[in-house]
Amino acid sequence: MNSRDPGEMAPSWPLGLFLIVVGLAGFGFGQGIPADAVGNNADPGPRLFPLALSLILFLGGGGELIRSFRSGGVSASGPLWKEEGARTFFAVGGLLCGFFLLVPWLGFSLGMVLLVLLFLRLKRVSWKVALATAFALVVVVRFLFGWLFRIQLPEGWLESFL
Amino acid sequence: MAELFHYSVLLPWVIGMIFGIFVGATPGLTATMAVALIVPVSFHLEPNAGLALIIGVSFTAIFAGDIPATFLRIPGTPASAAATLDGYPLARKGKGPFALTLDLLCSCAGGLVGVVLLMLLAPQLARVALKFSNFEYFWLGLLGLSISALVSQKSLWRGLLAAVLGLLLATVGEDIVSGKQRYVFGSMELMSGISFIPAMIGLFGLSEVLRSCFGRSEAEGAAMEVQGGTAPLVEGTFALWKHKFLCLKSAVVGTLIGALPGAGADIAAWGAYGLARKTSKQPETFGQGAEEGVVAPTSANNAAVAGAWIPALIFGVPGDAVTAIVLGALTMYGIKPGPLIFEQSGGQVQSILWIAFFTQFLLLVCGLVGIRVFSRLLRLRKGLVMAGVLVFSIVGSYALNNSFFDVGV
Repeated sequence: MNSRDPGEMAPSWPLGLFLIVVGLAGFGFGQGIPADAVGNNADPGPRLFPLALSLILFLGGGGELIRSFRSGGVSASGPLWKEEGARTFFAVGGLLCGFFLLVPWLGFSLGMVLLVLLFLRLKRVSWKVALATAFALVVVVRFLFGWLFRIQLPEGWLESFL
Repeated sequence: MAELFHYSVLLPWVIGMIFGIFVGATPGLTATMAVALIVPVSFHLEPNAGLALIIGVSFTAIFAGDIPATFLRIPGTPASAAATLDGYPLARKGKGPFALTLDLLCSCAGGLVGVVLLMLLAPQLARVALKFSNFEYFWLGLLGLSISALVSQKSLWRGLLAAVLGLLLATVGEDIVSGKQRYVFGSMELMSGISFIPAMIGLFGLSEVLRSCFGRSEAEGAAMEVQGGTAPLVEGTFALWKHKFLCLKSAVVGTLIGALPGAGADIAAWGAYGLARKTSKQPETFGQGAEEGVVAPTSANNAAVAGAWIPALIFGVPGDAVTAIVLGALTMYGIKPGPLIFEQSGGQVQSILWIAFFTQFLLLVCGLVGIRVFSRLLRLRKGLVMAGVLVFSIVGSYALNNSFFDVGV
């Protein structure tokens, strides 16, 4: 029988796993932080704080994982990939990663046009409206940031030819 | 004082406020950036006009950050993060303009309280503020972190873990005491740590874009259709009157926190929110569109802008990043911040104080126009709005340090 307060969030094993991984990573990579004492031996230097935080996250993640398994192993909202719109979610995530990787070649403006165009198509906006919106946004950004605020937007390899 | 209302001062004053609304409402463009951009322009104007431009921008940008915070759950400036908690749920219920009008009225009221305290108590408050040592700042920081647990309604434990995760991310970079590198992995960009603004944009802005991928986006957009006309102003006024003591209390808290060097409007907003929730008769309503949840942070963040001027004027120690920039501008006008400022530059200091005072009234007018404009803009199809958010989030993250690494963050 579940004696949990109905207002309380259901335990989530993905969250628990995430915290454990972050805690382990923080602890593992934190071993490389110099531990020179500042002052006398009572000062542990810059290493102790991040290691302590990593340990807390590891323990907190472990607790979340244990609570999740005890309550049945399924989060209250169900697995993310089964939700309506999950494909769009992962596609947009992929678009953002692709944008970040391709900007050095495409350039900021071209990359942004492609990103917005594909994003709007994923949202089922017509080609015409998507293209118009993409160009309009890039023009606005170029004007505001490039001309008004004098911020140099990155030019890619392809943009430098155009 | 009469010369403040000459068109040569009034015009740049209003233009500055419109600029402040635009910059503040754009995620990624901060109030600090707005002031930094406007200061060189102000040098071409006469002193009163230049000061009006700068002060107008700083107060307006802080309020304007609440506009996307309320409509899109994306704070325009860090000081508006607390306003998302109850402003956005109110907007989801179709009360966006009411929430923002209440926000605007509280910002004006909070700013007025801050300016009045600045006028009356500046030297005394500055002396207290400068007595804060490392111990007091530690406890203030801990208070701020504990508020993250307080606002986690359904799980205190998760709120604390979120704060711990944030602290761990904050350790990336060079340790400020020993200079040792932590979690840098040989990267030049990571040596200065993870920038706060890109992290905030990713957490609020991009997360909202990704959330919009999950079904019913058109229905969500329809829910944002709202009442128009003067109804929000009337309702907002009644709501402000109903919560007048909370507004006053939050404004005083905001001014005091703003007066602490290094503690800005964002800490003031969270502090006031936490205090309001703790002392509320209905704390369970916070986070679900409680009016108190809108009143408290929005009164405090504008009051903190005035509070930040206290140590800046009296001791030349900036209260926040904005006043750090403004101090440089003041020396260009021949105003030397310090204990003798009232003796040496009494007339100009009086102008600063009156400009700050009347800015709150002009904020009311400019803010109402800004709310109208953004309300109409956000009635566009949600996909188009999210595309705009996506673009400005990416560009805003880049613009801070001209670094594509921040976009990756």
